[in-house]
Amino acid sequence: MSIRFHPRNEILLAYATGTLEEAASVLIATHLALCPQCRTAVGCMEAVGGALLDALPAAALDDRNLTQMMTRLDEPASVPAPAKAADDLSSTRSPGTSAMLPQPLRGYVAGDNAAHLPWHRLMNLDYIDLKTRGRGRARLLRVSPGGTIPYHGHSGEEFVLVLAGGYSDGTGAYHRGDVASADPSLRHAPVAEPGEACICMTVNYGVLLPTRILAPLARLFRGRVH
Amino acid sequence: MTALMIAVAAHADKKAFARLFLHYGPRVKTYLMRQGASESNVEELVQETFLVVWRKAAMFDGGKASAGTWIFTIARNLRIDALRKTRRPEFDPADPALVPEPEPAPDRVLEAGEAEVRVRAALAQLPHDQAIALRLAFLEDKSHSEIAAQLSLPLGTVKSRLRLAMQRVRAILEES
Ligand SMILES: [Zn+2]
Repeated sequence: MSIRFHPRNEILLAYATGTLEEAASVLIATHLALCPQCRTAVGCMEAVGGALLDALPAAALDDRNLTQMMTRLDEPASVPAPAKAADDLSSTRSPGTSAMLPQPLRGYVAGDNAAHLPWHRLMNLDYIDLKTRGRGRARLLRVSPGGTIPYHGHSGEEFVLVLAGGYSDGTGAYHRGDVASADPSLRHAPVAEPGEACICMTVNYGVLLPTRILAPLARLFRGRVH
Repeated sequence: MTALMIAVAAHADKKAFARLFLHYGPRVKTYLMRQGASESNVEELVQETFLVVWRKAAMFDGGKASAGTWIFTIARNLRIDALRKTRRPEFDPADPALVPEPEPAPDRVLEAGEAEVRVRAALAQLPHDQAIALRLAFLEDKSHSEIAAQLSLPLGTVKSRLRLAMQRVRAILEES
């Protein structure tokens, strides 16, 4: 199924220029893994960055720099811890199956198969907090097939990237790769589609505002984690 | 410049690398200074940037990006690590979960050199206020609301200038 809901252009631009916070960057980069269309858009933005770099005035950089630079080329590279290599993935799942978490998200959770992650349970949903620095709180959420998240509003912006299954609210039906952006005016009660658990990555900038008795859920979203 | 980068990628050509450094090194220094690097460590950061340019050269695809674009992305990532002490996660092109591009029609694929020329032309034609907004967004580590504050403009105006500017560039890139 092809992606129908993309992040807003200004979010892609903030990612391309390098001003987007880590939490939202994980979500955007994971969307990019699933969305060739947005990869093209970001590539085009980076080309603008390249042209602007080219047009910058040259700062003074004396010859010593070139000499040092050339000798450094033969320095052994300090080998960074390799990212979880693609071939670590279980070969029992074919590429693109919905349980598979794309990079860079996989690097933020303890595994590549969503079914076997250390989920925490809260009411009818499972969640995992992702460790990111800066503004925005990133999580994975899992709702059982057909499950509902009670009606709520938001005090700040929210992004939701669907990774498996799907859900609907008043604004649309979302599936793997789709990004839903909720501004503070949105009040909704998302319902997971039947058949498969719905797994999403969410980034929240505010708190969840319960409209009824939703205290435990609201607690999950209140305050700052890091 | 892109031909030089291709030579570095294809056979670790040090002469080509030195020429790239002479052209882009001083510009990367300007970029990093505007991003808040201090005079005392900016040259170290410039060298770090080019060390990555050298070490990751094999990943450079001259059909996809120009040398300037490639160096811009490396300098941008390095300054996020070094100056903002945070991370900018990226997708992995070799990830089996990656959804590949649909095969492009051959006549729609631009040579990287052609794309570079078109981006420059597009930037040169932008209305002044859009060009300013783009420069602040790409070169000065400013969020859209910080740009709005600096230019004393409503946030919506800044966002729409940036959006129009990018639309214009894309339109020129996609013209056949
Ligand atoms: Zn997209």
